[in-house]
Amino acid sequence: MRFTDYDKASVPLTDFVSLALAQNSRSGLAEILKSIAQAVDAYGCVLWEVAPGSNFDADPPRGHLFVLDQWLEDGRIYAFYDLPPHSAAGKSVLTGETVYVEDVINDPRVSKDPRYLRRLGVKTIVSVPIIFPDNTRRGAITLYRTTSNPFTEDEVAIVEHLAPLVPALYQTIRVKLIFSLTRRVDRILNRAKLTTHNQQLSKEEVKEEVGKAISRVCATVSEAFKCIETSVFLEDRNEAPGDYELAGTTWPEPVERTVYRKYEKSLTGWVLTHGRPVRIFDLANFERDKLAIRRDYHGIIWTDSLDIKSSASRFLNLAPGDDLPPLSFMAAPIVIGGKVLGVIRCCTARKGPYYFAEADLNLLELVAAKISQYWSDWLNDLEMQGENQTWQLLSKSISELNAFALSKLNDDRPVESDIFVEALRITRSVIKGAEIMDIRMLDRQTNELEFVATQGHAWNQGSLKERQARKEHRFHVYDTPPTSAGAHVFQTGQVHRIPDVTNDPYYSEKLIFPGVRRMIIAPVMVGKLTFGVLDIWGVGEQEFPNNAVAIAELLGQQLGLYHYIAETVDLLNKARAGLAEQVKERIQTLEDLAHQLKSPINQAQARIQSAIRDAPSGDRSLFAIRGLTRKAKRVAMSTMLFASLAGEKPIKPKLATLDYETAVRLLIEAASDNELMIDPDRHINMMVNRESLSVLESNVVRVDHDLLEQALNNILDNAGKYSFGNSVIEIFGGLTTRTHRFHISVANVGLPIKPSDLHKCVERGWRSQSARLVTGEGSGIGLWIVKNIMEVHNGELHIIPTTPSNRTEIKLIFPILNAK
Amino acid sequence: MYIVLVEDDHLQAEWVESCFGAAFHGVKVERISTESEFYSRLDGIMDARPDVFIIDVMLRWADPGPTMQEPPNEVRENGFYRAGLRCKEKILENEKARSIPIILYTVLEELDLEKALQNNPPSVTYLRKDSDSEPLIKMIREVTQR
Repeated sequence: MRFTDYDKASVPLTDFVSLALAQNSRSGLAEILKSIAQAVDAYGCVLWEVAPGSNFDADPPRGHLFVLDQWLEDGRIYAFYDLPPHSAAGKSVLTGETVYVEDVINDPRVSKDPRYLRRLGVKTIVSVPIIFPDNTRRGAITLYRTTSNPFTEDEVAIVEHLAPLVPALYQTIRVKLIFSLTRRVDRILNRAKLTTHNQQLSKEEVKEEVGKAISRVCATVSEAFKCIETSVFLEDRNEAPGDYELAGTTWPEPVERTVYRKYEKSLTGWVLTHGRPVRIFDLANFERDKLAIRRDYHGIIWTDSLDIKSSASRFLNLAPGDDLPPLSFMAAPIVIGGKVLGVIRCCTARKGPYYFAEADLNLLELVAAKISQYWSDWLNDLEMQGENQTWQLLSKSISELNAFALSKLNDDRPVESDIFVEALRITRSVIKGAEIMDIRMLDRQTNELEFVATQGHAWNQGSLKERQARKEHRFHVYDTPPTSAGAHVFQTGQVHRIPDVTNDPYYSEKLIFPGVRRMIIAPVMVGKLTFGVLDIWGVGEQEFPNNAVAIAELLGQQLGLYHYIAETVDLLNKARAGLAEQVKERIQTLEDLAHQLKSPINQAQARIQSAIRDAPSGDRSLFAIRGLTRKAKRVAMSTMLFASLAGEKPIKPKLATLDYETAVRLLIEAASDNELMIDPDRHINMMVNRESLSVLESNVVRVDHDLLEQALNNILDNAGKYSFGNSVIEIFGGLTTRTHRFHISVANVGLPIKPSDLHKCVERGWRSQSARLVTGEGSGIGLWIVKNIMEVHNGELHIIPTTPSNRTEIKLIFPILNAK
Repeated sequence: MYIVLVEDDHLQAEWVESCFGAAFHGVKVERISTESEFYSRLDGIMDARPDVFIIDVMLRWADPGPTMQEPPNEVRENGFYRAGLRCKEKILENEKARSIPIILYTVLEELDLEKALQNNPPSVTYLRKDSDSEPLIKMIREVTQR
């Protein structure tokens, strides 16, 4: 576009404005300068700004002008960026009037160092002053002509009319840039969020996607600001709290420093520490402008560890002798909720505008805000996943701990400390940041908490004496107010979280570990009973996760439960030992009494036998006495057997061959004695089938005679008690049909034994309801003793269920050794 | 002398009866051997107005039989251990028999029956079983001569 006629400028002016408005990047400024240059047939057009920190109103004026942007006809870069106040452009700013230099070489208003002008072949200059829209910044637009014909008045007028529009138009471009850049950053981050949420990606894959997203944001920002470097540093508080690691960069070479921390002596460190943005006009002149810089950014330090000038020279492809443009720097903190998550920084514009204005920094802060939300969401997602995993791990660990505790509690002498140590190991695995742990339990004698289990290297630090002293430290629990955090927790039964131990009213545990920063104390309790406390200490940067308190509380309750069970088991064991002792004593007493009974009864029986032999037949009294003494002997024997069996002492039979005569005698004596015990009004008789015992003549059966007598009398006593009146109790022997063993059987008609009660009959202490009604006395051990007697004979007690005619048969089955 | 002896041990009863025969001229001893028999014969016995009841405290309910009488709930719940005391109460409930002396003759110690012996009328006395029949004979004479 050319302005050949000023009067017609109003029409091309709209084109000029339209052109300007069509620009959507910072480099659009160059296009505007180009159209101005072309309008007046100039070689080039440069937009100057008074550098920050300059004072052109001083006498003499201080500071300099710098190139904001430029356009030269042959595409060259105006590689001279620093103009003094007494240059043509400077003069126009100082005077506020257009400066026209017709002869560049000889005009004294031109800079004393016109080498840039000579190199370009500039012959004439027009410089028009401008004011930027904020009304504080000043600058100038300078046009250069390399031909010998000077600028005409009309041409100068055109420039004077167009120049003031430039700042406003540039401002418009900036606004468009803001929308464009923030929209693009949004799109990148939202797309990344969708990708990581919708796909089943592993943690590493998600982290890779996040890294890619941040890198794309860096590239987008670099492209928008036309700068060489955009880098983002972020803190992953779950992995490496306090470390701000490089997440993305456009720096063309491998970045030497990939991690920053707060309080470091660097520009990035300053931003992280203070959570404020920084903008430095020209890093190359940092030392020169240090005072002014530090007025805005107190204490800021920059050491140029990267040799920024050499790097910039390499990346900007400057020719020898070319000056460096301003190496502008800006950095914005990435913050959410007052917490610094990271920093985004930009450095060294590769083309104009060569420095970052306040508006650019504001835009960078907007981008930082987008990143902060994205990063914070991602960290929260990770934390939630981490928390879920922690709960899963905790659940599994508690199951394992329960199994472990059960195995320990089942020991004869459970060792509780093993369970505590295992619990502390679990605590460490599920709570990040748990570096030192211990359990303090109440000593009921002294009402003090004492350390019973510890975990963490810190417990093993120091000399032996120091380690001992640490573990022997105790804490009173019942002082009012509590004199330690542990006592406070013990008294209240509530978990206590201490984010900063220097700021807690109860904390006095610093005596144990002076360097601790944070602590969680949970009561070891079950129900309303408190037994001690679980301590979790944090020393480093890693904060406790959000669920740490809940986990500590849960573990404290588990420990309380184990302790309660262990105490109960201990009490039960003691009680059992005591009872066992008592039972042993009683059994011994029973045995002793039975022994005392047996001897006089045997003697009485013997004498009665003699009296019966000598007495007239049919003396009922003597038979009655014999029957009564036999009953007494049977009861004494039952008592002794009961005592032995109850004390788990085996019955040791004295076996002897059972011959026919002995068997007949035993059976007949038992039958007659038991018959006498039956009320004669009931008309119940006992009959012995001698013939059936003749099998003993050809078969060897070995029995303990006393035990056999006992078994027979028990069965016959039952038969007598339970038989119906007017019936006969049959006693017979023989061989079993299937197994060819010797048996003695008793059959009667009386109270039925239900099939469902068959197995109960031989249980110790059992009597059926009907049996209780017809006997009164009885301990229910008769058949139980018979069963045990048969077992020691390698025989059997067999009860044949009652038939419909109320006949019941009980068999004593003995093995046969061999046929005679 | 008409004595009602409630005793389930027939040997014990035989011996006691023989002692009564020697001690009391023309004595008639009515023996009841179970609690169920006592209840079923009580009215008849009351009409005959015995001179004294001698009751064993621990009594079985009945003799076994195909048609054994079912006991009331109290017997099921409390068992044979205090059957004689139930018999005693039955006697005291009966207007005609209330004044007839009752001797609770048992192997149980007086201390075992402390509560049961409280609040009994003077007609009820306790005597522990012994191998010597004299204390029983003596007590029968005392209570029947009041």
